[in-house]
Formats: sequence, structure tokens, C-alpha cells
Amino acid sequence: MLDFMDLIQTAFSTATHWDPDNSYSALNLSSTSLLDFPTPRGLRMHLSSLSTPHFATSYTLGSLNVIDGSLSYLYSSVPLALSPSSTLDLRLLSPGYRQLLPPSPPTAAETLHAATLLYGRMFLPRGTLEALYLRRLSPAHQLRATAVSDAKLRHGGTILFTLQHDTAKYSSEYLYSSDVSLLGWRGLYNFAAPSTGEALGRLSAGAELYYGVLNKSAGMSTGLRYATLPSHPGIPLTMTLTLNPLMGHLSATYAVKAGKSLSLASRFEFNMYSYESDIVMGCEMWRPRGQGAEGVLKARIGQNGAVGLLWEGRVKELLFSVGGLVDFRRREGPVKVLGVEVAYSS
Amino acid sequence: MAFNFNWSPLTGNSTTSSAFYEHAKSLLTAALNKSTKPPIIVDDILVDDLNLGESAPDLEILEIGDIAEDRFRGIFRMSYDGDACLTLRTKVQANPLNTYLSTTPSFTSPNPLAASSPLTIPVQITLSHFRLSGFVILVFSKAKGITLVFRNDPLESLKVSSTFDSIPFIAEYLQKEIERQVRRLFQEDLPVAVHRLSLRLWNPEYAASLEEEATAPAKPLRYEGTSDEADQDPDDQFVNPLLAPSDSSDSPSTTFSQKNLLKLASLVDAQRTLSLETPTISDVVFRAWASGCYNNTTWDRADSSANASHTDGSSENGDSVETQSMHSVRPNLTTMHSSRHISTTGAPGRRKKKHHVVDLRKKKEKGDATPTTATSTSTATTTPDSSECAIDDGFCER
Repeated sequence: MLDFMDLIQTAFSTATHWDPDNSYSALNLSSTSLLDFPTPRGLRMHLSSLSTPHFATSYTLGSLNVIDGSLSYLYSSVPLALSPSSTLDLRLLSPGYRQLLPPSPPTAAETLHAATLLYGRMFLPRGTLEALYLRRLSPAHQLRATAVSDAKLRHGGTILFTLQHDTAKYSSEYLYSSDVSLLGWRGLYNFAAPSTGEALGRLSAGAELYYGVLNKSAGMSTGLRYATLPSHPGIPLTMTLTLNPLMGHLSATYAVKAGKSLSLASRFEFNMYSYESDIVMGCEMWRPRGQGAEGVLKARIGQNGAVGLLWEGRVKELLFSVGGLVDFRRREGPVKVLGVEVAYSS
Repeated sequence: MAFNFNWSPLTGNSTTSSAFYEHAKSLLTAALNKSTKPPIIVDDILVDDLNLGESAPDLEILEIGDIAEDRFRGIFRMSYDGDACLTLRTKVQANPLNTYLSTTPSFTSPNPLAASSPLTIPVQITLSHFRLSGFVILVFSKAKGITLVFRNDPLESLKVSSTFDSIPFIAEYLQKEIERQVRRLFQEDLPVAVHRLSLRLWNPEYAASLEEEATAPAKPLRYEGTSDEADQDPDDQFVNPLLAPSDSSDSPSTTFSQKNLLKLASLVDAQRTLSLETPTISDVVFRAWASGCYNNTTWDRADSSANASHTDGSSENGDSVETQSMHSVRPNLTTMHSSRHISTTGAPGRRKKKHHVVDLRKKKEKGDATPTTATSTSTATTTPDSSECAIDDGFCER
């Protein structure tokens, strides 16, 4: 279930006409939201509110071993609108299969000049502070700075700067993290539609490079994605292939939207050096409004029999998220993790 | 005087040597995995092969402090240039980005798509060609086993060979890192392991109680920020039920032998009267066996300061000995037995200060004993049958 603050940031992206999905890190977003959904742990409650179109607050309280919680505040220079939890569209809350649209460049409206978003979150009793600063520098550039301040970290905290550059054809991001002076670059290129006929699918290719100056570590990966557009006659599908040549890691995913309320995905991973392989299959089923509790059921199963289950839905005005991990081969009992999250927003 | 090392049981293929090696390997594996491992090591460190070689170390006696039939203490210069070798096996993470990201908070993580995919590589490391030379303090006692402590850093050189030998960058890094860890091992972990091994031979019950203490699991550090579990109280299992303060108001003096108490009182008096007579005390439990603390011998603890503070404590109204000076108070049982000074150093923070004070001094009023606990100020007065003496008994603290 997306956090309230994540929903606000999605609303901010929509209001400023910025496409967060046109980035290399969103290459296999469809399959990760169907296969790598996070399950709640313990009991957690969220209470949030968009008090004014520019200001949002959220409080969480959780109990896993100890009682802890957090306070978060968000300010946006652009007026935002989000439905309360009683009428919120659940597909926004648990996005599953992402239907891609033909790429369009971010627009340059006058009112969007220097749109900013400020966000802060304080965890108690841990005493960790998280902060986010988002600023639209130009129609095609956005600066994002995230920072964490915690006494347990080296140097007391870290800060990460990301400069995003997005045109319809390609997008690139430049990253710098203060922790080990990590420099990163991510790029995505969308291939042009074939000149004959209408485009039925979208092909994209991307790559990322990281280099940590202080700890002399480097990493890279490349990826390819083919996704069908709404004009495709058959069922929508997305196929991706990612490769990490340094580590010899290969990963292929396949996600389809089999019906209005059913989506399926599978992923196969293989390592060329260690011959380790893994396969995960997942699905999500929507129960439409009007048939009792409205919600979605997500399930995944891995090759060693580890099962993840999640039900997210709305009961009256509260949003619920119940799920856990089940492993039948465990000696101590099948249920590994169980959790419930309750959220209310106004 | 010469030292004769009988190394042949370790070199032969007899069952004693293989049993010894099995136990030594398990002790070493436990010691290596007890502390938190760096995130680059993803699996337990297992000892594949341990061989103490054909030749024994050379020992040259520098000083002998105490020698008797059942105990010994001395300072040696040790040098070793043999062919002992040790082989370890573990798995390491080959992707440095993965190691880095596992220790940073997720909010500021760059969230790479596939650049941090893990790759675990099994690695085998062989340490051989040890060259050691240093000063070692060796204490042997039938009751407490062997304790050996290095005065300086004994490691001169050591050869590290591993599955990464073909990559010079990694081979150099491994050599440096392992030399550092082996130095730490010699200074800190080897005395503990030798002590436990020797106890297993001579004093199995004490060894069993120490092993319970050793198998308490270590808590690994991860960035989730989970709070520590509530501190359990492991001290309770080490408190001798005989000497623990009992909840009921029973007179604790009924659990002690009056004869022994009188003899102990006379020993206490002997410090003042300088009497040379040392009464033998029978049917006693050695404090070292009873308390279950980890013992370390130090030579420089002067007994006189202990006695001074002890007498100060007992010359008060017998209420409580100051807790601040407890670490320097020598318990009377051991000071009276021999000139050997045993200071008990539990692991830091392990023991609560538990004192059980039974007042055995000759009181003006007969039959009036005030047993108290040093941590509480209330005094429970009891009337034992014929107690006229009191003894201050301090426990190991720190």
C-alpha cells in the first residue's frame, strides 16, 4: 500500500506534469509491483490529512517489538488535491500493472515555474530525521535532494542529490551521494515508433553506472523493455530484460494484464558465474466495488516455496492492508511474518 | 629447570588428538562467529582444518612467581617457528555496491535497478608459516586451569593464501586484514579458548558453567534501528544459592558451618595479631567454583589495600561495605588461603554488585548477628544460635 506521503508526491508529479515512470529505475515497475510487494510487519496505524491544498501531515504508530512512530509534514508550492480515504481510488493506492502511454514531453506551463515540495519525517523514539526537497528547475529538469540524519550513521547522516532530465525521447539522471561520494548516472532511451502504421508497442533501453569514490566500488547494469500501448489488440503485456555484466546477473520478467481485475507476472533470474537461479510468480486479483469489501489480493510464490500474501482494501472509511509471509518448509511454523496496517486520511 | 613439551599426542593420528582437534575447531569456530561480522561476509566462518604442527614452541623461563604441586605461575619468552596451519572457509559478497547499500538507510539509497544484485563467492583462506615471538604469562592451577596472557603482540609474520591469490589487490588486502585479526585473536580470544580447554580437562563442572555463558547469542547490528531487547539478567544463574541473599528472613548463618565460620574469624584476626597459625578449613566450596566468573590473574593487585578497605568496612556498624571500593576488596577466603592473588574480572556489565554480608565479629551482645546485603540499607536482624563472629564476603564485581 502506498503511503499517504507517496500518494501526495504522485499528485505533485501529476500536477506539475512530470512523468516519474520515464526513468531507468522504473523499467520493470509493472513486475516489481506484482512480485516484490512489501508485506506489513506487526501492527501499524496511519493517520493523515491534506489540511490545505499546500500542506499535508501524517502520523504513524507501529508496534513491532517496541512501540514506535513517526510524524511527517509536507509543503507544496503547487496546490494539490487528493480524495479522502473513504472515496480514494484504490488503484492509485496499489498500482499493479502499469499501462504505458506513448511518450510525451513534460509541458512548460508558466505556473509550474519553480514548483517546490518540502517533506520532513521524524521517527520516534529512534530520533531519525528524513527530509526531501524537490524543485522543478525547468520543464525538463528537476532537482531532488533526500537526506537522512541519524546519530548511528557515519558522519551523522547522508544526503543524496539527483538531477533529473526528461525529454520524451530520453531521460537521464545524475546522482551524488555524500556517504561514500557515490556518483551515479542513469539513462533511458525510448525508441521511435516505426514509421509504417501505428505503434503497438514501445521499446526502451537503458543503463546505469555507479562509482563510489571513497570505497572504490563500482556497479553497472543495462536493461531492455518492450511494453504494449493501449492500441494493442491483444492483452497488455510488458517484457523486460536486465543484465549486470560485472556480476553476471541476468533477469527476465513478463507481466500481463489478463483481465479487468486480474494481472499476472513472473520473473526468472540467473547468475552466469555462480549458476544460481530463481523464479518468482505472482498475481493480483481485484474485487470490484459493491461486492462486500472492495480490495485487491496479491500473492507470490518463489521457487523454494516461500509464499507472500497481501490483501489491501477499504472497509467503511479505513484502508486496510493485511499480509504476511508463509513458508511451509520452516521448522518453527509456517507463518514467518504477519502484519496489519490501518490508514485513515481526510 | 627445563620444559618438556609432549607434542606427540597432537601429531599422531590417535583418537585423543582427533578429539582434541575437533573440540578445538568447534571452540575456534564459535569464537570467530561470536562477534559481529563485517557485512561483506555473508555466511558463518567455519574452520576446515586445524593443525598444530610437528614442533612445539620454544619457551625460555624468565621468572617464576609461584610454584607448588597444584599450581604454577611464571613469565616466559616464547618463540615459535613451526608448521602449524589453519584453514577457514566462508562466503563473501562480491558486489561492493550490495555491501554498501545494505548498511545505508533506504531513504537516501540511489535504488539501483540491477547494479546491486548479489553474488556470493565461497572463499577458503589458509594461514600458515606462523612466526611468533613474545612474552607470555602463564598461570596454571588445578582448580582454575591454564591461563596464558601475552604481554606484547606476539605475531611477527604469517602467510595468508586464499582462493583470491591470483588477484594481487585482494590478496594484499586479505593479508593485511587477517594479520590484524590474528593479532587481536592472540591478545583476546586465545587466552579464553586455552582456559576453557584446560578446564574441560581438569574441572568439567566449572567448564560447563562457562560454556553456558559463552553460548549466549551475540546480537548482530543492522541499520533498521531496532531497539535492543531488554537486558536479561544472566547473573542469576551464576549466583551461588548458598551465598545469595534469600528472600525469606531465614538466618543465612544456618547455611554456613559454624566451625568454619569460627576458623575464618580467627584467620581474620590473624591479620591483626600477625599470628602465624593457619587453621585448615574443611568441607568448603571454592569461591572460584561457586561464582562462575571468568578469572584472570594479575600480579600487581596489592593485597594490603584490599585488607585496608576490608577492615574499614568491617569496623563500621557492619552495615555495608562501600560498593565503590568493592573491586579492590579481596574476598577473605582467597586471601587467607594462599599468597596467590586472583582477581575476578567478569565481562563488563555482566555482574550486578551482589554482596552478602554476614557479620561475624565478636559483638558485645551475644547472639546478635546482622546479616545485610550491601546493596540495600535495611538490616535484617536475626538471632542465630551462637554466632559471635562475622565475616565480610564480597563477590566478584565489575
